[in-house]
Amino acid sequence: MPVKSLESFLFERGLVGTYPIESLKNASLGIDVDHYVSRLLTSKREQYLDAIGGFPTSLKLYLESDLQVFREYDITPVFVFSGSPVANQLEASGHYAAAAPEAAAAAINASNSGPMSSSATSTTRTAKEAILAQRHKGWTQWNNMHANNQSSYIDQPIPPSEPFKYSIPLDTKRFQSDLIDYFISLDIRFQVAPYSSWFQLTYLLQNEYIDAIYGPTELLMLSSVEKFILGMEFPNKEYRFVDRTRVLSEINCSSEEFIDICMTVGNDLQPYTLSPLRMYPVQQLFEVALEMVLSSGTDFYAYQLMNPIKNESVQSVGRYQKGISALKFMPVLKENGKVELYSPAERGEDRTTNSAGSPYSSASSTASLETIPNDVHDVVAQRLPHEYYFYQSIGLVSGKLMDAITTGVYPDEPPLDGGSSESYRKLVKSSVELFKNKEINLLTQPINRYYQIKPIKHVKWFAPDDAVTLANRVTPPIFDRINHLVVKTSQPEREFSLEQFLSMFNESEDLTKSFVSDKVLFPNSVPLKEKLSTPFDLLATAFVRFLSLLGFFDFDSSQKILKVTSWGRILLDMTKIGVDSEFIEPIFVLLMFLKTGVLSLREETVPATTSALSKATLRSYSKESSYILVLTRILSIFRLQQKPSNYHGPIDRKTLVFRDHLDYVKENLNDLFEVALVSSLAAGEFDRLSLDNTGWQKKIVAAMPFKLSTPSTVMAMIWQFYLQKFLHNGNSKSDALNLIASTFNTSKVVPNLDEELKRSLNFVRQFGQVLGALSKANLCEKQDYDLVAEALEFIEKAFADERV
Amino acid sequence: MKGTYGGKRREGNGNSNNGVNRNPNANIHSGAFYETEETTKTFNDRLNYLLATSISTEATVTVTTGVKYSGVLAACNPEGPNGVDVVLKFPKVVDKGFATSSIDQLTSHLKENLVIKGEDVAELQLHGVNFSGEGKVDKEAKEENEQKAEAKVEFKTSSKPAAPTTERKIKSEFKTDTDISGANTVIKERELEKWVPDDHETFDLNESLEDNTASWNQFAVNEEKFGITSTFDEHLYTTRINKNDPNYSHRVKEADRIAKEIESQGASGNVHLAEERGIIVDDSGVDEEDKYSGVDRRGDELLAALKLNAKSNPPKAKKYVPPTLRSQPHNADPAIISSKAAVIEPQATHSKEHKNHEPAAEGGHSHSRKKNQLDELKEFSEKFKVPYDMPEEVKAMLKKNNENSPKASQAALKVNPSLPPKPTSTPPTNASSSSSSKGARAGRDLTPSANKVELRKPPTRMSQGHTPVHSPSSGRHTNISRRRNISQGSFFGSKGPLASKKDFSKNFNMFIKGKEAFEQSNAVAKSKSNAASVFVIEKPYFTAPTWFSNVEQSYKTLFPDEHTAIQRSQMKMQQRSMSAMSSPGSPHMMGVPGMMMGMPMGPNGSPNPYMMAPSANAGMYMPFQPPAFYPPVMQMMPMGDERGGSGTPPPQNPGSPLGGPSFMNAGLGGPMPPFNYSAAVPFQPVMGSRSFRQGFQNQSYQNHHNRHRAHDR
Repeated sequence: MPVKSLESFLFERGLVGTYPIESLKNASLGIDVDHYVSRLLTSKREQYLDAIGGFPTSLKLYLESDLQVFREYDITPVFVFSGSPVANQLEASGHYAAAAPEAAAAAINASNSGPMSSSATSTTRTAKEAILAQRHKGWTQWNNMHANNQSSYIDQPIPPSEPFKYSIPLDTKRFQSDLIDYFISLDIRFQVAPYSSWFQLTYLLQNEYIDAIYGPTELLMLSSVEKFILGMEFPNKEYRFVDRTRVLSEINCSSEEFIDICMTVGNDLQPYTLSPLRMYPVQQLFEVALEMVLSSGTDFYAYQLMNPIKNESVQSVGRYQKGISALKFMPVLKENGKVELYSPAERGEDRTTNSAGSPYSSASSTASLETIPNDVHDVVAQRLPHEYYFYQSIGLVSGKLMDAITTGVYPDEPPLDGGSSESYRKLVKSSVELFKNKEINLLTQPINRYYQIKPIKHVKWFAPDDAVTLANRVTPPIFDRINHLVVKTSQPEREFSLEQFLSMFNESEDLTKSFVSDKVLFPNSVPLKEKLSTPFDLLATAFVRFLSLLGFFDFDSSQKILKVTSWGRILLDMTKIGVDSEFIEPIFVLLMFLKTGVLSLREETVPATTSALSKATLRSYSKESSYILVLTRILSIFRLQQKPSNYHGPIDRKTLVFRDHLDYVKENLNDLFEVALVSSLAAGEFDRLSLDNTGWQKKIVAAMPFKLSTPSTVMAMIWQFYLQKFLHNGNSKSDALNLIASTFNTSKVVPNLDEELKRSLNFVRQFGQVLGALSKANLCEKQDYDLVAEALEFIEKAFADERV
Repeated sequence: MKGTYGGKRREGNGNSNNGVNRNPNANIHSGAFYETEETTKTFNDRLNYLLATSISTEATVTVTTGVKYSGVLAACNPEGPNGVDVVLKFPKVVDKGFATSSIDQLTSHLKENLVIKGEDVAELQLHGVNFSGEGKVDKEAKEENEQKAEAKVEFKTSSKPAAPTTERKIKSEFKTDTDISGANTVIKERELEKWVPDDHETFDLNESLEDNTASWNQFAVNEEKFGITSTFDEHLYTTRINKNDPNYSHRVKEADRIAKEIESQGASGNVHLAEERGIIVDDSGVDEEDKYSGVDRRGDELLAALKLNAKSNPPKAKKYVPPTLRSQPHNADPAIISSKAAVIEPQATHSKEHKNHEPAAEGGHSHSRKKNQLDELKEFSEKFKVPYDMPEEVKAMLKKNNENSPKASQAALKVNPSLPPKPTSTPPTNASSSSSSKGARAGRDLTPSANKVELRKPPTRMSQGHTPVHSPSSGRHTNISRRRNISQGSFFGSKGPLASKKDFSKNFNMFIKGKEAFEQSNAVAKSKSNAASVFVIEKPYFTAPTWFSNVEQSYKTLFPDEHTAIQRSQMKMQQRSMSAMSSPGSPHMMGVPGMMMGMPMGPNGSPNPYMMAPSANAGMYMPFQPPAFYPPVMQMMPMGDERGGSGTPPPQNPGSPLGGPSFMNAGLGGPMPPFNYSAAVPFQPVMGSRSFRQGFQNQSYQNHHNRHRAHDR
């Protein structure tokens, strides 16, 4: 989040310079991913992303063309993601209450969030609230439209009219793993900062890892950054940069006054707009504040102190102080691999410039820039071991759990569809037992005792007051229960994949013999060669522990006997019944979802969501409608191979609701696997010196399952509308195909549509088989399987039909 | 209408309002008061109109002796030195006034025309002037004083039919085309004929123009069918290509090479450009709007930049030009200098004879003049920014020249004012077109080379004047040709990019770096012969949940308490207002002396957008001012004098709402030209509204009135 309204101010005042991209030739360019993505995905782009979920595919399109330009000029990009949020950011993003107040406010105020209302309300509402409100508004509009078109709508789906995203940049965290995966595949350097990405970039710049920063306007607050790039205009082969000295002198502001203004209008480190600026429109905040400073020498800190409304005063003074302090004491990942505070003195920011008239440094005589107070953790966040930050920096862990243990709150925010369904809420509640307790225990076990006794609460947006304290302390610790499970193949070239893993298990005669180790690996006394040495062994070990935690294996740690449970049997048999390797992960997610038992495949969610199918279809083809329902549900996890595109087409909330269930399961699976891996690493079971950063990224991070975001609902909708058309148009396949081609623009987006349809059909078939096995083992309801079997028949017929 | 046209006529006449007078009985006193040129002009125009319309109507002239003549107004000369000269046709004496002779006597002197000189005209009374074609203006005149006039004007709508000379009755309503043309109102219908193609004209319905393979020569057909011989010669429109030139093939190759170079530049990122070039691009995922219509918003800065460029650049401060050089056009226009440099350069490099002549010509000028030129160029080079490095070829060329004959090339680089600024005249035309174009290109690229030193120190330069903001639209083509030669600009200063070689894969890794550190210390330890044991990775539980600190204080204690903060804030306020005092010229308190705040000073004299703010503010009223109705107020406005002169209104305020009303007020107390704001501000809120205009007008009325009365007493 940039300094509010500063950027447009700079452009209006002509304080932004231009150079051709050539001038960056051979340079290393540090890119702030948040800033960069906000540049690429402007408000016009990917407007329906939140209605279909998944990765914004058009981002890849822009990335590709930009990377091409970089290659042309031998520019080495270094992408830096932001890491954990600092205290102010946590507060503003609704972390502590799982965005519950924001969600509530959004539901109430959704109507006035439109593009036209740029009035005072938008200054005070947080970004989170605006996002939720826009989604809410989008769905309301869509529901209305759907209801209005009931009479006329038969088989031609209607595209939505209201965007689901407005002006607030997408949260890059949502698809950070996808981007990391993409960067790894292209050998592009990236780094996840421990906290603020632009601080990390400043560090990289100062230590000459990069030559220039492409970052947000906050960089103007750092006097160690002389100038930086604000925007790239690739079509013009130009870039726009800002020179700090020049800006400050032209607006006639001292550094302190500038920071004072930034902290009041709102910026990355202090996202709130403080009074007296709250009444001004967002677009003019900076200008107004500057005018106040220039005309009357306003000191905003003093203003906060003098604010007659005491509540607000205390709150804003606190936020202001945290913002300033975060600017002074921001931790960065340093060259030596340690995460340490990057103080102004270390940044080489001149002490004298900061002392005069500064709102914070001239306070007491003892205070100098070298002073580091003892409660920085209140400003930033509590500190974690360097090792954890390292795993975060290479993308091995997403950081969500790390934030949970530092803040003491594990929030579950509303999903894309709003999360009103009972089953989703049940799923969220049950995740505590299934995943979260284990995760927290595994993660805190290797680190400072403080974290082991620190209560960590699970906060849900739908019941913020009903926080569940996660069972952090378990005896024996989870890790002790699983650390005898070890996979040692010592095949250095073997790459980890679920298929490899399953076939390895299937090859094993006796699981206990093969995968249970008599002694534990972690003590330092164990010689290196007896430890895990290859990435495959590391990942497979983590995975078998992960499966035993999930109940696919039964491991008796006292007896040291490993057995397959009936669920595990189904999983292991997947390779036997010929499930394609690419489908193992999605089917595993579906299995896990069924295992939670919150909703069966045929069951309607409560409260029910309107289907995108027409009334006519539902009425005259009720049987087929239920087929379509299960099919779309299964297909909602199918990953469509498509070209990058900016999606404009129909949406379906019902499918999205189910997809959100799967997404939630998948995310938790990912967290649990990450934690199983980290616990193994942190205990020292793996030779951590055997890999350099590139090796870590390529061999471990890239091979980890569940990393990529859950696919969008597009494939499910393609089938949904295909089948609906097929029903209404006298079972004509070509008509249905034509409809799909025109509504989804498949000729461009999915060039090999036919193949994709076949592939997805195959997926449904294979899932049908797995479900059959499940039903045989009495692990799912028989009706479920029957319905899927019938639906499969129906879809096969609909697809094979060639009667024109 | 009646007026007195004495020697003071030019001083103006206040009864300009009768055109819209809603109060026919109001007596408007107008005194001799100062008028701005424009106001006077409007009055003169009105008078001229009145006189022109009155020609051929009846007029009564009272001369200074009191004799009144009436007759048909034949002519008048409002430009006369002492008033309006009048010619009356068929004059007769109406009143003998104070004349001693009788009316008959006077009448006997009269001939067909009576010419009355302006100085003799005491009063001119015009009857039945028809301003609009309907209605007549009735005027009564009453003389009071030679230098004052009092007019009573009455409109009597359509009390008298229009001039009888017109044959047709003038319709007062709107006339249609038929009325005007007087066409016959009977409309005939024509018989419609079916079109039948001639035999040779038959064609297939599905045929299109492109389908016809036979070549089509429009001239031949035209000649054959209609006998028209065309005189078309394409060489009238293009440059004739001399295909017999010995270098022809060589030049064609060169042209091809250049064309290829341009085409091969790739259209990366620009799908549309690629499509124009016929490259098949994968444009899936780009909707039509993105492709053809939408602005590429990767970076909203593009839009902002366009906005910026759309705004007229603030006028540059005039720099001093020595009187001897003022006549030379290039002093005003840097583009001419550069183009001159561009012209001369090829001479220096390509034609040896020229090179030898140049210094001789140059030598003719005095030394000081040369120096002036040099300074001029230097100054220009400081202002002129091209963020490119010198192309390699030019560098090499320059170097060579310098080695060979430093003086000659130096001289060639300088502007030779004796040369015509036309670039095309210098190289011999047809024979060497390709070489000249090459030279011109090199020459253009040379301009930045003069700024080489300048380019190397960007920070200082950045702080003064403008950054090189390119208009994306205009810069595009030139950039394409320049781009090829650019290695790197000055973003990095003189160092250039140097990182990129640092290792990301080993650094930032606590395991590897930890081991390295361990081995280093171990090596030290070994030398002391007490080798440490094996390297152990730091256990994560050693890390405390708090960050390193060096004082037992909260971060909150680093902030001043309320008392201190408020004190400091007041100090700041004082400083700001003091610095504002010290620069009374700028009401927005810019240009604050740096030392007061210990802060960097704003660039002196650079067209700071802020600096423009006050004038822009004042400019905002301009469009709303009804030009003729506010003379007294305008008189008070200090900018009244610049109003007539410059036709260009100051640019609109660049920063949108410079200060809400509160800031306006804050500004009010400040030291500023007293009438600028205080007079203008109260009007602002109602500006442009109808009620305001009326109020304004009444006020000006009032002003007239009061003024006059004051004068009377």
